[in-house]
Amino acid sequence: MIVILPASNPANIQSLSDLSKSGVKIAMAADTVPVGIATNAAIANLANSTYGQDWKTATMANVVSYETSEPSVATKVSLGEVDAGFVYESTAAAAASGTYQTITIPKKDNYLQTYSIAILKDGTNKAVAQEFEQFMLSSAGQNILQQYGFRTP
Amino acid sequence: MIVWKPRSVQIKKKLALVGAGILIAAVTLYLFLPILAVFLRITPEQFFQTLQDPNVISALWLSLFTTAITLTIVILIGTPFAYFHSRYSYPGKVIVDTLIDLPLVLPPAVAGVALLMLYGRVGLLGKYFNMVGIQIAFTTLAVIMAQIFVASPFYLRQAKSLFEQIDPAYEQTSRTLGASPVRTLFLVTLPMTTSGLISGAVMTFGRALGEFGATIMFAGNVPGTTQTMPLAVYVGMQGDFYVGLTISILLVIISFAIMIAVRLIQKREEQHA
Repeated sequence: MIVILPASNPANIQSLSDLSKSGVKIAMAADTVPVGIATNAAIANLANSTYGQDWKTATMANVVSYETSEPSVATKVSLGEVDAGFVYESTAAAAASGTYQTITIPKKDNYLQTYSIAILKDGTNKAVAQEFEQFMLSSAGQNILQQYGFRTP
Repeated sequence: MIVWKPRSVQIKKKLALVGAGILIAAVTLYLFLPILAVFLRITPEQFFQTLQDPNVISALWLSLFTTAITLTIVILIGTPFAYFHSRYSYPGKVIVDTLIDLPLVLPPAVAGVALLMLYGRVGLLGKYFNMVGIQIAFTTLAVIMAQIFVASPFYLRQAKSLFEQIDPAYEQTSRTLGASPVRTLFLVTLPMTTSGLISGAVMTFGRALGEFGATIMFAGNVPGTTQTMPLAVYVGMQGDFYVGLTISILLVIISFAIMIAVRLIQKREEQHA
């Protein structure tokens, strides 16, 4: 997860602790979708390790919209209608440069979404699927993923 | 008296009856069975237990509250507007006529985007509101504004066509008998249109109650402030399935209750007339 801000940073957010300032508008996903679960977990971790429960309460009170999908969060931030949003690092990386300012979440507090690759038992093209899986796990495939903001396990 | 018809005519008549029966059954079942399925997928215990979920209760009150305000505003402003629009011609009347119909064909998400572009914090008008500290997007007010935008055409079109159909002779006669224009409006014109206006109001209510796309785009989604029942159904179906079902059932019950109430009101109106 990463926190993105509109390029103009209207609320002048410089750090994660600024998220709890009164009047800041935050967008995040609802906890019924995976990215929402990840957001809540990251915020809980940050509260426990660094910023405290008051910070968490104030930050959650600043949420003006629980979106039903992650792209909607990014859109609200890029429009400038909210001051900050929680999205995947890959979304921030994939955006055109200059769209967002970002604030990183320390790795120890962050929630890592793991993506797995697998071949279906009942697949009809297992040989080709095997080749593709090996390619994705090879350094060439991993490089492509890294270009789009994904990290190696 | 025995009427003998040729066999071919009798067979055709029977086929026509069977065909009509199949058509009616198909239409009725297609509309009715899905609604029945919603009720059958949850037990009464689960339903009443989920009813106590605070998100369900807050969605219910928020929806009823915002829809009631929307309906009040649309009727109070829409009725005089429709009256003037139907009685007088003015420059640009054709454009206004088209604009009234626009929200009907506009996808709700587009309506939400449009409202956000105008009233949002960085919107064309919204940025001035923001400068004096007034926030419009992501508030309950935004929910109401979205509902008015998408639902008012139902009432405006209905009222407009009702007023157009009333023979001006009634109003003119009333005036010649000494009634003021206002008195004429309330005692002559409106009573003649009540039944139709009610049905327009019902459609407006139904559309406002079910509004989703514009709401989530412009007002956001926070339980208690902006999470209306349709939003809660959608979020519920992503997470807590029974919450989604319970709210769906509530919406069906409310819709049915409104329709029955309207039928009863219209029946009494007809008896008076």
